[in-house]
Amino acid sequence: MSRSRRTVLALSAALCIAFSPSALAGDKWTDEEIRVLQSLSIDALPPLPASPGNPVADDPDAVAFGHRLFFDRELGSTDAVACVTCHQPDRGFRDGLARGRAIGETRRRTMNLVGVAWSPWLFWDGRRDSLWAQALEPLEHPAEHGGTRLGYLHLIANDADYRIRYESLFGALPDTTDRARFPLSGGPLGTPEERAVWQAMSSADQHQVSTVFANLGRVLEAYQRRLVPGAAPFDRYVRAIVDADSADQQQILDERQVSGLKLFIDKARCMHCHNGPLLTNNEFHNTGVFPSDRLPEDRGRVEGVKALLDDEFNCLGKYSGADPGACGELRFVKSSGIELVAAFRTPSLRNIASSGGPYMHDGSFATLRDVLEHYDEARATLISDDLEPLSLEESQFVELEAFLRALDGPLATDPSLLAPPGD
Amino acid sequence: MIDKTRVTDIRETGTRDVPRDETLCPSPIALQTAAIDRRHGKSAQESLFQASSAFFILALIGLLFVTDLRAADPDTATNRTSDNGHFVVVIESRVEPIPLNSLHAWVVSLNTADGTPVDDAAIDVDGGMPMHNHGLPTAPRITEALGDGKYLLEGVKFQMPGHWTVTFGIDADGTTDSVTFNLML
Repeated sequence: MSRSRRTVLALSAALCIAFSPSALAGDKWTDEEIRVLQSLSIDALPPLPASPGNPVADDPDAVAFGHRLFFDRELGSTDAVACVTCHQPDRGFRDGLARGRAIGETRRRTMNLVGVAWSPWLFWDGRRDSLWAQALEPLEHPAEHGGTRLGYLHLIANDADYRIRYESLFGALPDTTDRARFPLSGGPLGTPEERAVWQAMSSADQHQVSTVFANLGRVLEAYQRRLVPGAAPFDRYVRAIVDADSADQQQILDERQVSGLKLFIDKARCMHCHNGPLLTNNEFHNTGVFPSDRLPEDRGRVEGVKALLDDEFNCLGKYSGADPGACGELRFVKSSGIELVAAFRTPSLRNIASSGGPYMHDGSFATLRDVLEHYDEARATLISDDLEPLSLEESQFVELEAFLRALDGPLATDPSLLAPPGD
Repeated sequence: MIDKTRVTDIRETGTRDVPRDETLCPSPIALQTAAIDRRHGKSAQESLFQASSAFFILALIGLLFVTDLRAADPDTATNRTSDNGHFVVVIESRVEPIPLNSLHAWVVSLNTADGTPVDDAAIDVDGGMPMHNHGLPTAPRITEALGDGKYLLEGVKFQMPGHWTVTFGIDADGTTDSVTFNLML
């Protein structure tokens, strides 16, 4: 190669590098990147979405009623289990365990509740499509509250405060003094004896009891809708960028966190699933969180979507009352496809560090570093190819984790709702 | 087992579409090399060969350094002729810009190649992210014929930023064809 040609090539290469978008970006954010950052900011969070099957979703009396129920340890077959047993406010409404533990142990990790009102799907496998319908399952689950629908009816009827609260919101309770029609315990999902009691009831009485039960879910939803994330350092950083306040930017996030943020929106591809102001798309993905040499025992969304379609409390069900037109997520749900196998709902990353581990649906990773290493490795799943190895350097693991800590922030929730009522 | 071959094929196909874009930077420089060579009295063929070599080398350099330009932007036209030329299909989202993580509806307009609206067609919908080898997160479908060749498509949702495709299979009085739209979110 002649000298002049080498010179031309070298010059061309230099020009090419100098004018590549990455070089142009320097340490500043491009307009496109700022648009992306704004899309992740808490300021992009839309108002609370409607809850089509819950007319009391935003009623303050329902919030207060739900608040009391959420902390009530008599809610169930023992005097020892409340919603708050697993969803602990000082642990980001989680419990620090790999599996939830109440009367028994649950199948998967306890989910965070902050910002849950914005998710069209509930549970890791999305087997419920509203927060009110979700709240019902643990109440009847033998490993959680272990109660029965008839038991909850009598609990509300026999507690003067609950009874007043209930009847002022939903009208008169059934005549629970008639124990022949409304025995003290029984339901469709209990022990064989409890199921037999339920089967002996008239369908009209079953409907009345299930309606009261669904209404308890509605007030629990009203309470949980108030669990809303507030601005974290990341959000204040985005505000400083938008305000072009560079001094503020440097004070809010350190260099490592800014580098981690750049990785988050680009090379580490976190935004594929952790997008939007809650840093979740609330959809279902198989990210290979199981041994790679055999099919997963927990089939995730495959089972979830079947349960959803069979759920009598779903948006189109007889207890919903929602306009079918408002049930779009259910009407257009994807019910088949390899993508559903061992797929689990993307969790929000807000307060992911302060909530503490373990992480993933099965609590299989103790630390955020473990999670990052999992996505860096992107091992084959036998099922899907959503991920590719990231080849992160050691410093980049540190930067990403530092950024994730910038998503810790206070809740935008009335502090009185984070403590037992009356405290 | 996963079909790795299929994934690779899709990715390679994506790469084959790329050169024009990757040469955004080297291409003018390659031409410049050819111009310099012409001044040195080289033949057009030789210059072209050298320009091509420089083009190739710089494309490689471009690949190494210009990682932002991994793939060419696909053709995102919302007005397309179907694969076998039977129909012209236009898509219009009722929510603009097309949102992420939000269920929304489109109006799909179906016309024959000569512009006559086609009513009473059976249209099925499929799609996904070719680079990720997964489908749509929902099962959108035509829920209403609006008349004048227009159809309401409900249940559309995209849950990731990036390149999506949406394919319509059309059957109008026994004439079948399909058309694929690209979207960049």
